[in-house]
Amino acid sequence: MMEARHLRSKLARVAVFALYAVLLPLPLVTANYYLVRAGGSIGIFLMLALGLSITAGHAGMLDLGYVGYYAIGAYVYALLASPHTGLHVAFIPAALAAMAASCVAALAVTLPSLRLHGDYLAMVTLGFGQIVRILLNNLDRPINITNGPNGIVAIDPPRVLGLTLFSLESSYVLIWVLAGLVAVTVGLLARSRTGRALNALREDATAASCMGVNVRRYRVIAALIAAAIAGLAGATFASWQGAVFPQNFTMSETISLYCMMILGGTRSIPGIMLGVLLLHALPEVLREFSVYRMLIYGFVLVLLAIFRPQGLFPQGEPLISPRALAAAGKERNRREAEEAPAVAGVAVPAAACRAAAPAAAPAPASTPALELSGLTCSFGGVVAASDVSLTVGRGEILGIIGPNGAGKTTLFNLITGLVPPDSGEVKLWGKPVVGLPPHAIAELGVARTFQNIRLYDTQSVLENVLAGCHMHRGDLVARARHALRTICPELAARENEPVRNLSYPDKRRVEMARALATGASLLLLDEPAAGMNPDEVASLARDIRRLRSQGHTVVVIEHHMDLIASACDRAVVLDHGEVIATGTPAEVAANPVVISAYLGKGAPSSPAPLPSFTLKTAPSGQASPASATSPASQTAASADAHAHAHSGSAGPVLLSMEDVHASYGPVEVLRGVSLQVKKGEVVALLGANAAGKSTVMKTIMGRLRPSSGRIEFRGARIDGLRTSAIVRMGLGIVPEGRRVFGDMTVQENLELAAVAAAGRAGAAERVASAMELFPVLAERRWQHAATLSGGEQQMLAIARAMVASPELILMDEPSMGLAPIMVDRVMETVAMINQAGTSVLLVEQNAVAALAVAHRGYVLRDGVVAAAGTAAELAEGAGLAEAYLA
Amino acid sequence: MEQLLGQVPQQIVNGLTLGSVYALLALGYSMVYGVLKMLNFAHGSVFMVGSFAGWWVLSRLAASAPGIAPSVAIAATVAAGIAATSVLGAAIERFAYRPLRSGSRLAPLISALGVSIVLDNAAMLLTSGRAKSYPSEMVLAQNWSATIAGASISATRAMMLAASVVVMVVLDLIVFRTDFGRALRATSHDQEAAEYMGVNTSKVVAGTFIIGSGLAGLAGVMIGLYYTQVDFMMGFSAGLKAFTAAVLGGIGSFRGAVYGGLILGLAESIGVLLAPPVYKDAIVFSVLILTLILRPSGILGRPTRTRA
Repeated sequence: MMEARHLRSKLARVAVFALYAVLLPLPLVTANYYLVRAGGSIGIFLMLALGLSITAGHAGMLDLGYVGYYAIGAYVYALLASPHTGLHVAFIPAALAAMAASCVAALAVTLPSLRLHGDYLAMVTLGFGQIVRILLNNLDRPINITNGPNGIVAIDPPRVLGLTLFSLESSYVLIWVLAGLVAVTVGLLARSRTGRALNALREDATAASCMGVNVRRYRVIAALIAAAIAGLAGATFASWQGAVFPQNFTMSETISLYCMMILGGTRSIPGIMLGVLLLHALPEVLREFSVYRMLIYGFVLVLLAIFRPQGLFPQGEPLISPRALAAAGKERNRREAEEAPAVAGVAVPAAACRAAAPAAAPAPASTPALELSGLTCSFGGVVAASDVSLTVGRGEILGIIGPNGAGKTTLFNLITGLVPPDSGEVKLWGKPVVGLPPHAIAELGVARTFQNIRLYDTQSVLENVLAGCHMHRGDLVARARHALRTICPELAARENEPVRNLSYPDKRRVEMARALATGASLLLLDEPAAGMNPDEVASLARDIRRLRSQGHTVVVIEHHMDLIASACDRAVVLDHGEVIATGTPAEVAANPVVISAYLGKGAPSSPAPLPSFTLKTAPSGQASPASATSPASQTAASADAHAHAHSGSAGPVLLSMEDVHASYGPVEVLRGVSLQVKKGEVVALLGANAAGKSTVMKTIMGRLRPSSGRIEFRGARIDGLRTSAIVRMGLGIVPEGRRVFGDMTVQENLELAAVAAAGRAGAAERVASAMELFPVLAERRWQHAATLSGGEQQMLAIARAMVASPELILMDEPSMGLAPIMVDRVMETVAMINQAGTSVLLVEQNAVAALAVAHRGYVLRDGVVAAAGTAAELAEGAGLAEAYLA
Repeated sequence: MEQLLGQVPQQIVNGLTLGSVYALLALGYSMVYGVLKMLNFAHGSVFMVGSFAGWWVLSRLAASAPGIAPSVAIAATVAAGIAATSVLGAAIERFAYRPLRSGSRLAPLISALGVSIVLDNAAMLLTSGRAKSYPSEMVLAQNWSATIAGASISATRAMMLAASVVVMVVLDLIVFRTDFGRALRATSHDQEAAEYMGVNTSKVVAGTFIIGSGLAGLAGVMIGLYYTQVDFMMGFSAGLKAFTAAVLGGIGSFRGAVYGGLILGLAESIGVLLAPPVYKDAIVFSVLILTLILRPSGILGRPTRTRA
């Protein structure tokens, strides 16, 4: 099927070129004056559209003032080649001067605006375009530069290499020669290293900078190339029309260009060629309707935006030239014939290894690869890193673990320069790097993967890995393929598949290959094992060890303790931004401070001792938990039934989920979750990070539609309903991270929720009783919510849910980011509102605190319920610890 | 120089008058940006439609009922302008923006651009490209004026200032004291959390669009009465100026939009004293560019630092 699609698009490309090949000589052959005029105009617009595609298409910079560069080019040429200044310069030097002038203007606009993007950049460029037009119209006083609205006329016929092109036909040929040059240039650019860099920064500027792309420099380069092309088009236009007027360079031209570009597919050369042809030819054909031309363009834009924003040729230009691919293919065949079959785990021969050699680091061998000292960083009051110090020696494999929100990814962001620390030092091979931009740090030999996966979904596996090769020259395709083979040979066979079709673990592997392709010797892997089953985790551990034997240093953030145990030499534990333990994985897992950080601090009154357990060091032989009939979930289901039988005082079922499946895109996150909450209960939903707890909440609240299964509240189906409608049925939520409305006062937050969720009637009374329940809020009622402390905000968030008098409240991680004493307060509050008659479904990482207040609980693992029972059963059983630390 | 200084009070009055119109337009822009995080490129065109709607009603009245009481005439004109734009705004939101809510960031911008092109060109075709005149004498005594500190305030200017002040006070009351206003502020702050509180954010967005467009309609009628000439191109430059004012004051901030509008009006009027009038618009655009480059969060906006 892939092949058929490729073939179709290849045919379409050829068809467009063929169409042009037929149409281009037509005006000359028929000697039809009108056709020649139209054809020349199409050629100039084609140049402009191709130029614009570099900024707006490839680099993703919305330039609404592009016509300004076109105007500058045209006028500079007109001034040099007309009686206006009497200089009568030949075509080539005048055109070069025009291009230079446009480039200078582009620098003046782009350099100051580098920080801006999207809407704001669009406005700056729009303003620039307008200013140019105003200047053109008015710079005839006091000195006559542009001749105002009368324009510059009587421009010389172009003089190329001594030959004066008097006839219209010869100018027509000149235009199309230049248009052809521009098309070839843009095509070569797309396939070049620069083109791939632009592609990377358009898709994901953050990831691009971490792979060594100097985002600012490339944006300027894109603007300069586009402006130069516009300047050339302007010069050509001036010589073609013989005169230039301010009204040739209005917003209408910009709009037409965007229409043509978007219709064709902003990055595809044949697409743009087709777009220009259609949108120029059609109005000509329907000449009686030419007065409606702009109106039609407007409708076309709206329809395109709604139905097909990617245009006719969405796939754009290939990022790799066929020649490079062919050369790499031959090289691969040769090498494969030479070397012994590459078996996973066997050291790769030196010749092939060259492509992935670590960047040469001149520091002496004893210098640690990475040193952090006293690193501190906070965002808006939340401390993400607090005096973190650690050292990673060369060739070491270090694991970083810790509960959700502990600051692990922040550490990677600090190291790679995405976030500046408030204080502290980061040294890479002895060199201090704080303050360097991310691309400069990448050049020192660091590469990373991202927790949320930052790949280019619509592009192929190979193109994605190629993005990591930016810092190298030479045979990049071979380099990329080698990186792929090193991580996962099966993936190397699928190099042309679009990444969005891959499974979650395969996507993570592609990201790792991309990081490897940068040639970095220090690899930072952020949750590489997410979504993997135990066999895959074991294989990943082997791969990481092999990377070390090839000379890499690896730091891994992970929640899968078996990966940490089998791959890492040492582990560091973070909690609330602080390092709380270091040591071998076994030492760290047995450390009671670590255990309590994960499972939560025991409530003072809890008599149950903290569970002790051993780490599994070898992957278990269990079947993956993906199947709904796995032993784990059957046990869970029967334990659940048992627990229900013993919940005594609980009433009828308020909320039920039956075999719910839910996915984010192609990745299935909930794989058949079933649970119940009865009236009067507090039910805890536990599990490690990425187990699916938040997804359960989102699905119940209507933020995510389940792909199958039922969710019912008070007997009525709620899956598929709008969130606000679900809330008004009596289901309240205290969202993760509290999400209070900081600009509004405490009083306003409560009033909003009281009225929106349960109507005006009785709202004032409900707000008053909420204030009674939480006296601290009454004290602060006129303060803006943003000024409250974390604990107070949590109280406000709970009060906000309470103020609608819901029957059931969902609480998503209420203890996150709170000091232990506040955690106790929160749990006391949960117990209190439950006693007052509200049922609670409590999602918590802090299992001990949650189980102390809950009647029953469920433990989620990998998207299914792995354990269920009464709170006491869960607290004592081994299933809980396994779910977190196995 | 003295002559120049003598003109300052008049230009201040002019600037405040013009600025109040910009403020109304900027408010519409800011409100929509606040809830949708999207720049409504079509806003200026909606303003133009409002102006023409008012002209249509007023010129019909002038033809068929020339003796009509000014207060009735003005009420009818203003109502027409606001009604036309409110309906138009609701339709645009429903058909050109709502389907694009979940897609890429670029698609709504392109759609907005398309809508503004359609509106501008439809107006051009319907008016044959010719400007229309507001028969302002129907509504306002043409030779009444008050004089303060050497500046004369005509009936039109007085009306515009008064109307703007009233509208802004009412809007402030709505936004800060009503349930809808609270829902609007919550949706602007955090749309998902607002849904969690039971706010139907789709309705809030539609309502915001209607109010913002209504404000544009009112501004359109006021400009028509002030300049008496309205043409199909007026939306484009008005839209840019409104955006400039909104960004200057801090986009998303209500009070910022008002300050931004007034400052811009003053800058434009006083700038005319210092530079040739033809460069009036160029001054405005330069203000825009400088603001975006030097302080993108505007006067009242807060520069935010976000997690990577």
